[in-house]
Amino acid sequence: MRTVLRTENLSKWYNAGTRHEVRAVDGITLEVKENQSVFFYGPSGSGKTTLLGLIGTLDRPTSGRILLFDRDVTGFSDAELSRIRRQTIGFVFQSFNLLSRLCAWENVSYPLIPMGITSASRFERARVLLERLGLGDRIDHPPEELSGGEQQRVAIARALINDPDILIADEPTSNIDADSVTTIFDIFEDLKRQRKTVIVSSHDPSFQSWADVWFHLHRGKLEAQSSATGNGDAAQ
Amino acid sequence: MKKRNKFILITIGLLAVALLAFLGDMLGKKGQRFAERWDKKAPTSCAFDGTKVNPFYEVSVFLDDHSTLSFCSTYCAARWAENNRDKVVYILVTDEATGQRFDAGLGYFVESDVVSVPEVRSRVHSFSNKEDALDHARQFRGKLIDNPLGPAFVLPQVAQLDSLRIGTPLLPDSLPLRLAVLKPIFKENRLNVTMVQLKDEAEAARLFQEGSIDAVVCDLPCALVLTRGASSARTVKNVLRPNPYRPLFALVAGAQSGVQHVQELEGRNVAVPAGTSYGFYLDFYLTQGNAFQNKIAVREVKGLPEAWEALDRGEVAAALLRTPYTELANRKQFRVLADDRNLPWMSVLVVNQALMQNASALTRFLYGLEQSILALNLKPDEYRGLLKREVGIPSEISKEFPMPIFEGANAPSRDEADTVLVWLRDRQLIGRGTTYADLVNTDFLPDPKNVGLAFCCR
Amino acid sequence: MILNVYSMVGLFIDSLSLILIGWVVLLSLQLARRWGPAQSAEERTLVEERSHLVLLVAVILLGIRLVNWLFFYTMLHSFIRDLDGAMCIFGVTQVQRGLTRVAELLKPLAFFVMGAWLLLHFLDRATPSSSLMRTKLLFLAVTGLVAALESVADIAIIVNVAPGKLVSCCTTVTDILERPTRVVPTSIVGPHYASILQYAYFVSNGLLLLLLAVTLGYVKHSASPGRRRAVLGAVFVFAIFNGIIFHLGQIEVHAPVIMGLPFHRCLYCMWQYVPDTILMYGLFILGTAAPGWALILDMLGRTKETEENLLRYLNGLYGVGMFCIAASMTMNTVHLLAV
Repeated sequence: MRTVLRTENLSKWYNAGTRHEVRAVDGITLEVKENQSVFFYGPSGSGKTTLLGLIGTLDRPTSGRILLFDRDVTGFSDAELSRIRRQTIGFVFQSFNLLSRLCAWENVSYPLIPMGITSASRFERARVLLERLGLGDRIDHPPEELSGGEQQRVAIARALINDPDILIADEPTSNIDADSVTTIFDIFEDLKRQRKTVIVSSHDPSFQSWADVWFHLHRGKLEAQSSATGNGDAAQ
Repeated sequence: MKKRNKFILITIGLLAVALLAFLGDMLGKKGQRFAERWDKKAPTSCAFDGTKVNPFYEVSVFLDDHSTLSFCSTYCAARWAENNRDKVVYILVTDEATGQRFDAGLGYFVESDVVSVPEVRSRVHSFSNKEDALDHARQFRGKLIDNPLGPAFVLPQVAQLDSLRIGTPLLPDSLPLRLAVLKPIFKENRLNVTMVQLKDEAEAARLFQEGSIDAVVCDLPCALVLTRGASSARTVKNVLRPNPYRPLFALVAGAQSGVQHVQELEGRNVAVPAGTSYGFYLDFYLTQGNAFQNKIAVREVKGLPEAWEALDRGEVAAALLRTPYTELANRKQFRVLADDRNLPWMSVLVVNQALMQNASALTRFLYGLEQSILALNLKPDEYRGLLKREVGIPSEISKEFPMPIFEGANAPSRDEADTVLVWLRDRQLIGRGTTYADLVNTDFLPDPKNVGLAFCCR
Repeated sequence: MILNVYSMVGLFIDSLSLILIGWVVLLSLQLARRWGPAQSAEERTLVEERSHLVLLVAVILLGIRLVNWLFFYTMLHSFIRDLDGAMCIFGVTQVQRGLTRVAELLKPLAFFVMGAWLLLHFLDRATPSSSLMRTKLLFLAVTGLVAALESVADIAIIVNVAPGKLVSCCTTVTDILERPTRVVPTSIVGPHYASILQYAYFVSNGLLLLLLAVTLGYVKHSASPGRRRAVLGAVFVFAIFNGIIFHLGQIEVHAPVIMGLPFHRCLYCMWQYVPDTILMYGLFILGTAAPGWALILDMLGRTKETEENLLRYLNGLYGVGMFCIAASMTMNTVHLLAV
């Protein structure tokens, strides 16, 4: 299996050298292979969101390297990173980040607009995805008319619309009700069955049973990593 | 396939621009630039009945107090002027053939089937040239009528204007005067100027000495001779000079003569128009070319057209020509043996004693002449019609004959006049004691900075 | 100063341009200083984020200055009725002859520099790591200065052109040395320069087309960048020389023929009465600028990352240059034949 993501001594510090220095991510080296389901867990403030932001190219590291498909993207320009994100990464945010003025299918099809796809085609693709995720009867509803779980499903659909190589989900179940959590779990199980490369961060340990590989973060450092085959490693 | 598509696209692109150029050529306003003139003015209303004035039929009246009024037609202008004739200095109408504005007093008017100004049902059309007027009458079932803006409005004021008669040869030199009469710049300066066409220098001298003409345009040698005849006659202004590309006088060899240099003229015939100036230039060219006049058979002819004919027919080996015939010779690629492109002499204006004593009239005359020269030099293209028709340009070159550059407010300098004076004294055409100061007066020349375009030329 | 709608709008556009240009130049210099190979990815991100607005404003500004080029002549045209003796734009240009000449020269120069910058910008955006960011920002500062000069010249003209001076038509003084519409051809070549210029126009443009075609092939297959640059430079120099021949030929020979007015050596009248000649001129300017842009891209935009894209750009520019010169020649020839 080829490596889709590798980090080398990745760090993200805020206010470095001052009294208020925060080492959100500190020297993390890890690898993610193709088709793996990866789980980052740790308490609040352990650096999960920051780390996902770095490997999702939404943020720049203070030091270290990030390699996507063996390409060092650390020094890439903003424009190039935007292209990479558009083509290879789907991101699901903790707080959904849906556009309130657009209905469900419009939110889902939004990433397709810069690709020059026609409106009819965008609608069709969004409809198919939303139906797969159980929202076929809610495609015209704006976010305010959807429950938390439904909004999260719309966000997942949006992340999947351009068939990304990697799906990154940051705390996908933290802002939704218990019933919806089950639904979201089912979706991720489905994605795993489809052999998608999925990276999830959460403080909910339930994802451990779902993941192929999991990493434990504490105070910005990688404390331990383990896999479903039972090979646990201490942090490198 | 991709290369083929590219090739097709490029071909289509080139065809498209070619088509655009073709359409642009068909639809562009080529040669209609005088129509732009009308855009320059904002639309005005008729001062008589408020009708919107069509610039093509506009009649302008220049008044005693230096103001002007615009009318939509000759009809309205005439009706207004009936009750205001004392105020009118001159009236301008537009020549329908050329688009030029000119003095209505000199015009030809035709009443035809074509309605010119529908609001007043006017069918009167104005022309500065009689042939154009008759052409229109023939085409549109019209007839020549009396000038509706004529004597009734012209005479009272004219009677109060200073009248001058100016002798001019049928040459481009007379163009500023012709323009100033036609426009009428002289009337704007309160002068009623009549032009008298002169056949040759002899006629000029006769009329000048009789006092039948107040001034004459002629070449410098002739002018200096004329001036010495009368005690206060003076040369007061330069008119036209040669320049490095256009001579005034040239000694030209015929195409078949085989003459390449002035010296080769010895023993050959040379046609020379009668007159002091021609004699001067011939002498000068022969001396410059180390040839002797007594070894050349000079055939004196009446005038320039005769000299040209003799040359063109091969009757003479060479001829002394003056512009515009020098242009004709150039066109036919005759060999120029000598010319005055780098010589300092020019044609000038000579005024007689009577005019010299009427300082006011002379000042206004020279000012008006300056205004005319300014108009010609600023907008030469606008007056090409006048050049083609009125100053004796042969038809073969009338289309491409360039507008001459007329001299500003200047008179011949002492240095310029010296060589001519010496020559004249040697031939006893003027007295030995005659000096430059006896012949030239620059006191009446206007300051060029104070000369602006006449109203009728704006 | 002549107060009318055009001069007011012109003043507004030029003043606003100056303010924006000042901001763009200052900021681009600042950002260029901060962008360097030793900078961290975070710092580079900060510069990038700030550069978005600067670059957006720069592109808009360049568009405004380009449109202003056409507007400038419209404004001059609006002054005709206020100037005694003026029959067309030529007369207006005679009021402040030197200043207007400078302004008119600055416009194609500004267009050239702006186009070069825009191409550099696109080349930079095509690279993953924005390797030309610093060069681009510095060049933007230079472009801004040229555009600023151009704006200042326009303002100076608007303020200084006033009624009161008698001006001439372009046909004035048609046949002596100091003719205002002509530079020096007669004094160099002689009175029969017109036919020489006519031949020179076709020969020179044909040669340029050939040179562009040959260089296009050479660029594709050439391995030596140094030699390539020398060739690009030589072609551009020839293109400028051809531009001079074209300009003189248009004024001296073609404009009178195209307009049907023998002594009217006036491009302004030609553009006014045969408007498609504006396109012809525009195509020619584009065709002449293209090899220059290729040279500048090669000089400023060659890095390891850009090499592949650069080659594509050079080919594209030469192709565009060839098409534009050919199209301009086609239009001109059609006009001359259709007369």
